Amino acid sequence: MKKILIIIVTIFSILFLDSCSNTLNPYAPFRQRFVLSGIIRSDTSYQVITISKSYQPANYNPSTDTENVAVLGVEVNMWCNDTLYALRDTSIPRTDTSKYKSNVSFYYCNNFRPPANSYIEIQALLPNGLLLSSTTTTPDAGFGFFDIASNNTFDPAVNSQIYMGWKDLGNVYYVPRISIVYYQKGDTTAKEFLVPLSYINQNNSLSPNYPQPTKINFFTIDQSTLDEAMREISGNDPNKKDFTISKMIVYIIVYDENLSTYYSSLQHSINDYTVILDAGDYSNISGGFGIFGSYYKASWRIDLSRLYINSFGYN
Amino acid sequence: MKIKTGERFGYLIQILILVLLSTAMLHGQGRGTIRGLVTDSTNGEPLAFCNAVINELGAGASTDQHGLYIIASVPAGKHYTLTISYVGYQTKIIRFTVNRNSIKEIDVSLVPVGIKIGAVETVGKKTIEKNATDIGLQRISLKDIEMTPKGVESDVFRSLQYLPGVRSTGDVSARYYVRGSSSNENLVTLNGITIYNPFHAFGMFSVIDPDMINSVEFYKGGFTAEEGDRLSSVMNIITKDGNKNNYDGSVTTSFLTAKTLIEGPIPYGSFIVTGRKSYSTAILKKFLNDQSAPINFYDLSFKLNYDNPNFIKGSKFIITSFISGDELNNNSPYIENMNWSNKILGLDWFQLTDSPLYYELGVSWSSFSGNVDPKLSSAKPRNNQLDDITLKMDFNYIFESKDEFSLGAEIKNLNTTLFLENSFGVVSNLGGQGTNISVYGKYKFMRYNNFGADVGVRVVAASLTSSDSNPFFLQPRVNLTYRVFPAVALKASWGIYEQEVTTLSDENEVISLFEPWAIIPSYLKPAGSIQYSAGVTTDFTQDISLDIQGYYKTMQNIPTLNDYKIVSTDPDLISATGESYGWEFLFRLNKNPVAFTASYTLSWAYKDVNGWLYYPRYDSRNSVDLTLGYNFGNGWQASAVWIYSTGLPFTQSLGFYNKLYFGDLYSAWPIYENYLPFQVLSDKDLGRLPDYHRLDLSLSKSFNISSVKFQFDASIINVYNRANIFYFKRDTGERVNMLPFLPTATLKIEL
Repeated sequence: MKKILIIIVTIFSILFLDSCSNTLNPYAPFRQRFVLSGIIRSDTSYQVITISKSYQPANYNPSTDTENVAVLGVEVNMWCNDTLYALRDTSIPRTDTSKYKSNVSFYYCNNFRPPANSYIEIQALLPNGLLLSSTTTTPDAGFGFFDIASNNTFDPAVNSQIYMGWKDLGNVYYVPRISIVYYQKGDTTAKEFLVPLSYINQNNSLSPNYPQPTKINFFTIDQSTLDEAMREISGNDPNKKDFTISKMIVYIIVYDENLSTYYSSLQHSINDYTVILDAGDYSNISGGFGIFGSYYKASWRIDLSRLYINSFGYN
Repeated sequence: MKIKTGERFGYLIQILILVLLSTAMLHGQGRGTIRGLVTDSTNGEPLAFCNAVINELGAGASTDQHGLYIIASVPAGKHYTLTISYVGYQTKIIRFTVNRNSIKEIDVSLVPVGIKIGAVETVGKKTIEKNATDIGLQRISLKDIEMTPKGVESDVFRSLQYLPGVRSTGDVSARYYVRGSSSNENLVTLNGITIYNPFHAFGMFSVIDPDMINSVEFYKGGFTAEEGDRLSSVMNIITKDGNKNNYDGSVTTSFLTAKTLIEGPIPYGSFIVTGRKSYSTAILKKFLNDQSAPINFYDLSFKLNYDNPNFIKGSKFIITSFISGDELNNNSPYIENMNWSNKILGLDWFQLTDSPLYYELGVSWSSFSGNVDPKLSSAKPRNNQLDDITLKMDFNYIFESKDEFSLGAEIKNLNTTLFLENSFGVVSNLGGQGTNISVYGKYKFMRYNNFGADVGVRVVAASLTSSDSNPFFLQPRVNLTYRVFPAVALKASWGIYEQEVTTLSDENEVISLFEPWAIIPSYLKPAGSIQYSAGVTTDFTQDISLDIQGYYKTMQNIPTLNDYKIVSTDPDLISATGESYGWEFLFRLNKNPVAFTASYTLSWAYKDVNGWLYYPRYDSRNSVDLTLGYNFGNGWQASAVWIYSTGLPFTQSLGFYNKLYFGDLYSAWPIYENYLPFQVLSDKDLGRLPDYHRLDLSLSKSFNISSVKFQFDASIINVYNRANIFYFKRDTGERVNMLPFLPTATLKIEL
């Protein structure tokens, strides 16, 4: 028995003392990749595209790599309805210089405001001869609001909530934004107070729950939420009469399908505990990474009944 | 449901039965059979896997999971001695005679060896079953489970990971991977009823409380025709019947849970109730990279058995119920809540007859439910419900020649609902309903002492899936054993296996909370596997053995989550193929007071998805497990376990690119500066993590104070604090390691 024990202990000791390498090199040999990013907006004629390259920081921590990754000297062209829009390069000072100190470089044009439902194509010819290309179709502007509030006016005597819906455009994201436009005495500038969808009671404190990008094509706001928002406009200011409420405005931004898929892929969090190692990446750029998408923005007006406004002491 | 081959197979079975019955009847005349139940004398608990040997004949059998042994073909009219032995019990010798063409019932109660005399008492020895067709089968006793260091809790799944051919991907998870197959290809049954999600707490522990286990049979492969539904492995867990003599109870507490067990007799039977509840999750921070998780879990089991000879002679009725639940409730409305649960209920009727026929009929319901409620977080809402109603019947006939014939059928109705949203925001409804009707027949040639063969076929007469064709509807399986020398047996198996359900597991998740079940959709064929294994078992002495096994298996139509489902018309699952092979070595020495096990596995696993061949994340080339147990006597026991495996695959990085992030696009125009580094990945799983190794120690002491039994266990996990990497964070390059040096303790009080 003693011999057996000695043999066993010896085996354990040899394996125990074996010092295995515990270092890890996460990198495969570097291969340069290029990235085109651009979101075409329907509410401006100033369009911006960035082009950058991939990098491999020496210590695996990308936040420590400070070399500017913008790619200059790229020939960037966009086409929409057979019209060519050539983008020029420029740079501006960076607001956040914590990582990169140099200016932000990008490509732009200031004469292109795409109509809804437009097919747009982009091509970027890099100095090394690589071509990045993609397409997008701006969302259909034909989606219509409807509002069950009578005459587009919220009146608590008639409605207990604001309900708004719009045409379902398929598998895309909508981003609602609701604001109350008001003026303060002595100031002719219109101000906007953002109305949340609801308030969350957390430890006896109310936290606003603002709309997030969603695939649901409607929203509701209860009167209690609207009441709280109305009260917050003046806050602790006792002079309620100094506030004049003008109207509510509802904006909806609609992402096109590319942008919707891309946005969804940014929401990595399956949940707070799941750990995903190789997160999926979405790109619609041929020849590289990045996104070329577009969005459409529309707005709608809702009035608040005078009686309701006055009930808070406002004009 | 599609009836495809039922009629023609029915005729085939009938002919087969007639031929086999007539052949066997002719073979063994002038002989008798003995059979009986072996139980623990203190509580009447059936003892599975003990040895029953007729000394004069050198013939014997092991008890099955019901504690039943049957030895046929005993020449009639002579006097014999029957030796019943089992490790940890005093051997019993019984004299008997058997009459021609009769069955003699010999039930035996074995007396357990007292804890204070463990080192000197003569206890049961291992008996060599000369022709057992058991390649790929591991029988795990409660003592084996207790031998492994407990860590936070004893766990049957974690004890599996010390077996050759079985791997885990980290200390955090009790999920296991068998011979290069995915974890959702493992079947876990409790008293014959499928448990779909047998894990608590992020998969860290199994839902099976070891205190309720009577026996465990684990097939790493080569499982015979009565087992179905999965490609890779089968674990059959039989729970205790409950104390038939006295009312009994115990209370156990660890850093994580408190649990209780109550058992006792009822007229013509017994019952057992166990319950376990987590009360503190502080220890889990060690598993979760110091992250807190407000998780609560519980499990509750109930078993009642009734065997009244005045009602039906030779019958035993068993009612099994089991419930487990996990909840992860966050106070913050901005962090999601989750819950998942299992519920099972079953009625089983086991019947011995006056002839050498015994049969078992069972009806059961098994349900799994999992939900993710995102509340106001960005988590994806998910919902899965599965209900499985199964009717099973098994008939076994033992001929006087010792050959056995088994015939059975299983009708399984499955109903699932599954709603989920993938990372690209595409919502899927993967629910479905179907009925599987499978029948099997097998014949065990046991008439020759040095040769055994188990030849059978399982036929899927109706498929769960609505796929047009099932290439694996016919599943022949063969297991062979040939003992070339008294101490050396050659074993081999070949078989075809099929699986029609799958989890939607994301291979990229190293910690996964939500693994929903679904029937394989109609656009894919059922998954199938062809497996070969062969090996040699050498029993140097009664105490020392060496098993060497090689295996090769191919897998087809493996449903794999489609990582690139961009639009709703893209399939949720795509078909993959797989291949694995390897060698396993298992050396055992069991010479009281030392128990030593050494195992080594050399293995390869591959998976091919859309033409991309890669190593799956559980592929480990070399694995070594060493387990040493020592019984000091007087209730003192110690064990040491050392595990080593070569590094697991991971996907290397090609660097980073700056990726545009944005939210609602109302804010300041983000295009200039809203970029964050994003990993550019190299080819899948071509890199290897550093090697893994760890030493665990444990010490336990059992003692009595008055009539109350105490058992104290202390363990140290990762004694030399090896920094075994779990994964590294892609965004920061930070290394996340597995369990550090971790001392734990448990106390069990039995009243």
